Amino acid sequence: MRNIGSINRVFWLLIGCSFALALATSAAAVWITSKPFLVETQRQAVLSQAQRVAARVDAILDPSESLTGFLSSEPTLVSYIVGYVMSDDGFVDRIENTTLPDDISEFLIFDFSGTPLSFHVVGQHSQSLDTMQAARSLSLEVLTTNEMMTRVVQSHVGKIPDEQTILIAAPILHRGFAEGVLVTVVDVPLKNTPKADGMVTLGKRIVQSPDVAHLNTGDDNAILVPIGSTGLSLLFTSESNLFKAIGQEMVTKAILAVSAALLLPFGVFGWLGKQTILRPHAEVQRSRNKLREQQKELSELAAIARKAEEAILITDLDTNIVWHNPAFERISGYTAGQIKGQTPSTLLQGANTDPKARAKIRAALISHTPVTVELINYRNVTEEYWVRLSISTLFDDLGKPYGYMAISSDISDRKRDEANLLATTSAMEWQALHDELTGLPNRRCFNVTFEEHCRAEEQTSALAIIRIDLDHFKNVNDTMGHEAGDLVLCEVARILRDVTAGKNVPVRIGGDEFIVLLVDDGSLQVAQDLAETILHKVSQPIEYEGKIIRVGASFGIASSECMLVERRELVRAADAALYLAKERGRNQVVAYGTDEHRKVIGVRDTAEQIRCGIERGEFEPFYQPQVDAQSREIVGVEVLARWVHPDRGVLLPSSFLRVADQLSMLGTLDKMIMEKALQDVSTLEERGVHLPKISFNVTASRLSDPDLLVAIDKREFRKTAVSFEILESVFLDDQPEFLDFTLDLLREKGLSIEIDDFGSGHASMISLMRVRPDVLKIDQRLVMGAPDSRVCQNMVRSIIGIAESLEIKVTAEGVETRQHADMMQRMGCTILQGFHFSEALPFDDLHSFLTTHQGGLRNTG
Amino acid sequence: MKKSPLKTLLCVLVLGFASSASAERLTLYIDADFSISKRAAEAIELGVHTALAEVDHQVAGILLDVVRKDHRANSKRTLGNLRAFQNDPQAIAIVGGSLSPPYLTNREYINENGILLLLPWSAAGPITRADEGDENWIFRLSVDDTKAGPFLVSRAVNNAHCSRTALLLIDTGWGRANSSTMQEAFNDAEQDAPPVFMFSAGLGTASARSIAQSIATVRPDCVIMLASASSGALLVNELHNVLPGLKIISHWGILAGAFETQVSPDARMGLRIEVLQTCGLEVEKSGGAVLARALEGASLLGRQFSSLSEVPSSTGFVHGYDLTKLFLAALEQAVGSAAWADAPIEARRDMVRLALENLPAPIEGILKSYERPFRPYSMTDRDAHEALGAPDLCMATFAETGRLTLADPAHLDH
Repeated sequence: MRNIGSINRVFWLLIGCSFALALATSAAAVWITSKPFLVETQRQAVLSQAQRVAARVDAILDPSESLTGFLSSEPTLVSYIVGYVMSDDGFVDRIENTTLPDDISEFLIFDFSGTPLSFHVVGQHSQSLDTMQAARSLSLEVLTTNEMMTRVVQSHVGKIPDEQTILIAAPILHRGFAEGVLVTVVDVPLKNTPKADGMVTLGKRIVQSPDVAHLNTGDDNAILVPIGSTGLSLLFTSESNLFKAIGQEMVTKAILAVSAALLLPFGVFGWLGKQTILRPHAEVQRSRNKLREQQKELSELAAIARKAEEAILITDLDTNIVWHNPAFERISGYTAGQIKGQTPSTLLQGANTDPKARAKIRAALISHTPVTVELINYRNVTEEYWVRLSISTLFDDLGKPYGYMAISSDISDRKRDEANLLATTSAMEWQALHDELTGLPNRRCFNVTFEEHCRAEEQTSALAIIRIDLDHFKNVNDTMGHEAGDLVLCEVARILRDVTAGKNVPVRIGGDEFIVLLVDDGSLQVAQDLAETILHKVSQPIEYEGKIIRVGASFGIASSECMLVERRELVRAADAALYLAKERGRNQVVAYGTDEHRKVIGVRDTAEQIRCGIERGEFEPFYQPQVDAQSREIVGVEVLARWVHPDRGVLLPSSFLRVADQLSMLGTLDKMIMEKALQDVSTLEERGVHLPKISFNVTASRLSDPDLLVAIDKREFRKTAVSFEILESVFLDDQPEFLDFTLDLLREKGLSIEIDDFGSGHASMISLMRVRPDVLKIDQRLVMGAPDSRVCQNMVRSIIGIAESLEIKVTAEGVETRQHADMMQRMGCTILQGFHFSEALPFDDLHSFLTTHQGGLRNTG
Repeated sequence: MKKSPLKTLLCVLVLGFASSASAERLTLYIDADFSISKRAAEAIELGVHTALAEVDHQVAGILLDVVRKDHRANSKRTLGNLRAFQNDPQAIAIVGGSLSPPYLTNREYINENGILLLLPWSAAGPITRADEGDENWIFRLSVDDTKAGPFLVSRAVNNAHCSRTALLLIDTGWGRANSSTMQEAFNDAEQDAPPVFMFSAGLGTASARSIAQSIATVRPDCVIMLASASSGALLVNELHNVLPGLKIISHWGILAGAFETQVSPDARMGLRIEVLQTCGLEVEKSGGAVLARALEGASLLGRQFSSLSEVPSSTGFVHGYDLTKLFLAALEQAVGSAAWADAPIEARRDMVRLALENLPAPIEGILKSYERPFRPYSMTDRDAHEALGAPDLCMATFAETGRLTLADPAHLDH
């Protein structure tokens, strides 16, 4: 027997087929009746277009024909053709002075024998060999007939050309005889551009009229239209059939219209068929199916319940067990006989079953609401196990409760895992907050605890921080090994643990650094006392493998009692105090008091002002002139940084360099000074003031800054040399490779290198030879000390000797008196620099100075 | 007993045919305008044939054939004919027909390639005057413009007493060469430089009218004209419209065609036209025996002529006859030399050329008795290849019937 789906399909298939057949019949009828009309329409369309195109082509050819006839009788052309003049310049002049139709591309001139004499291209391109051959053949015909002729060049046979070349030949008559031929080449555009599908696409080709009869176009729809009186015809062939396109469109529209018309009756027929035939049949079928599905569902549920891992119980409303599955027996340990007639609570619950869970179950049973709980059950009365229990009330079809269903699963393993995880998590948390070696709380623990105390709303008692740093602990590690170091750290931890009590927290924050957080009574005095105690204990010798280890410690203390800083700032304040303790010689306790606070504030203010000063561009280059020791001519200037403070006047580097260094702003400052100085030198050059050289002080780290070289490369002056002064101390460091590289690069760029403050450091001769400086600058302390100190004099002489052996110049800095100047000159210094000649000058003063002393500083001595 | 002309012709042809079976043959080309200036060309041809007929078309046993080539006044066609001549192993010389341009244009080619050219009509001065260092292969028995130009100017200035003469010249090498020659002549006659009007060879009615109107603007009383028959006729008709009573002194180019029929009688008579001639008419007037014999010979070849003026383009006939006589004398002289027998055609042409330059005995022609008519050409003897000179020039005028008559020297002076 067919099912309802199959009957449905057959029914609708029959409806569909009938519908399609009706459509097909309609379409065929439309096609057959409309075809003759379409064919005629197409023919008329093609003919109409052909006539239009033929008229257009005639409009192109007609003026060209007239012109050719006119030009062929041009007297200068006749003279040329019969050889009375040797060139056709007269003809060329004529065509150049004549407005030619756009489509003419060339004029060809043939003599009496049809030999080409000359040609004149007037269009975009010259013609092909095909054209030339056709023209020659045509000229022979014209010479024979003495008549004007028109020919089409059939160079595109087989293709539909976009344009065709037409030759118009006129005899050049001399006294009535054709002595030559003028051929005008006309390119006639046909615009055979294919159009979009469904549109008419026509192939156009110009052909000789006499040839028409012989043409085999291969297309019955080809149409020939004569082109004026040219003797040419236009052959039209339709490549894409108009009537096919229109036919398709008509059939499509007819089908759409018929579809629309048939849709309603077929729709009504289908609906009625469905109501009267399919639906009653479907109702019966559906009832049968439902019954079958319910039976199947029940048997499947029973099978599932029997095979389920979970224990399933069905009770009546009094909770007496009426059904259970095998899993219940397996989990509870009871047999079917023991289970039957029992209530679950008596059978499974015991002393450790959570009373709250039992109460929750009871409430749910009363209210007939579902409940899920986790609780302890008992297997065979004695063995505990955890279950996850879900109870739902069972309702009959009328919504009346008739029993309960309990589903439970053994979750003992999961409970055990949770207990284990809890224990593990506690251990990990402890490790995360404590130092593994010493067992003291670590920095993280400190941060949390300190933050709690900072946040505490009641801050009745003072809070203090003791910051402890072991002195020279690295030596212990280095000399006695890490085990000894660890021993020291554990001993210090023990001391801290011993001396701290209550809520006070000893912390190892890393390496040899400790903190004691005083929470109970964080007064400054208590903290100082405690620190002294710890210092005393830590200073005691420790024995390790028969050797004595001694370590000291520096202490920085900050207490909220002093009211100098916020609680949160206490750690930073203790750090500052610790820094002072180390600065003052270590192994001591320094508290963060008013003086210390003032210093910190001072540095902070300076830093802020430097930041603002940089933003406002208050740092200026000053220029201290350098003069030739012999001629006293100005040989250069050294750029010195000055802070032109709006309130405090011009400040020397000593008042800002250290803070700027701490703030890592030295690079920015250097860059600013250098940019301004380079601009100043450019200005000098523009003003025509010559400055032989400019020197910049650069640090080793600044040398590695690529911006430095870029800035130098971009300088806009070329007459002033640039020199870099590098501190001798640079060479004390392990000379990094980049230094050599950078110095080589600077030399390649034509910059010179000067060693600054030479004599104050410990540069080796090897280093000097490697660097190959251009100038050594003697430390001003040696220069200033020279008049009174033989040692200084000897040092200066030695340095000059070194320079001479390296064949480089020596600059004496700190030339403050005439005595200095004379002495340094005598001793062999080549360049002098110092207050004796000039202090460091701002730009405007430098400009005046250079202008005034162009000839040198003789009068200065 | 008097032979009928037909019988004489038959005898000539039969004898010629009989001897052609074994005799050596040479060919004489006639390159002339048999299309446009047909009358002049045929007159030349008639002169040539008449002269040849007198010697039975043979010289020292060598038969002479005549080949007609039509150049249609087209220099390029002449060049084609010259090449055909060059490649013809029997071609000994060319008689160049009416018009100068074909030979002006091709002069270098002719001289470089050893083409023996005899000119009974072309008047342009440079044709027979090769450039320095070139050989000269062109011989003329005709009007020489270097003489004709000054002759025409003298006619205008001295005979017609023109106070303002315009030059109306065809724009070809012929016209351009005459332009300078005649301007020099005006200069030599201490006259103002004449206005010059050039016109193209392919002149039409509209252009002719335009030129006539341009000429009218300078209000000349005389015009010296160099034109072909057709263009000359067009111009004369138009000039008659704008300048009635104008005196026209024309070069003889207009005689190459049917000028007299193309010009209206009103214009022909109203304009007082004179045309340059050699003095054939004068010779006839004075009763030349050679002319009478020639006319008789010509009459045997077809049409009957009782007087020279009956011969269309009679100067062509006269010059063609006389020049052929000179050629025959030279050929006879060359053939008589020892080298002739084995010489290739190129060398034979050269031998004839040298003979022409060295004709020892006087040769009786229609116009005159030619005594050493040609000499070896050199830059110091530029007239060496000119058989005629200024004394051989005359002027003619048109009778009412259209025939030429010898002009009275004072024809224009009234």
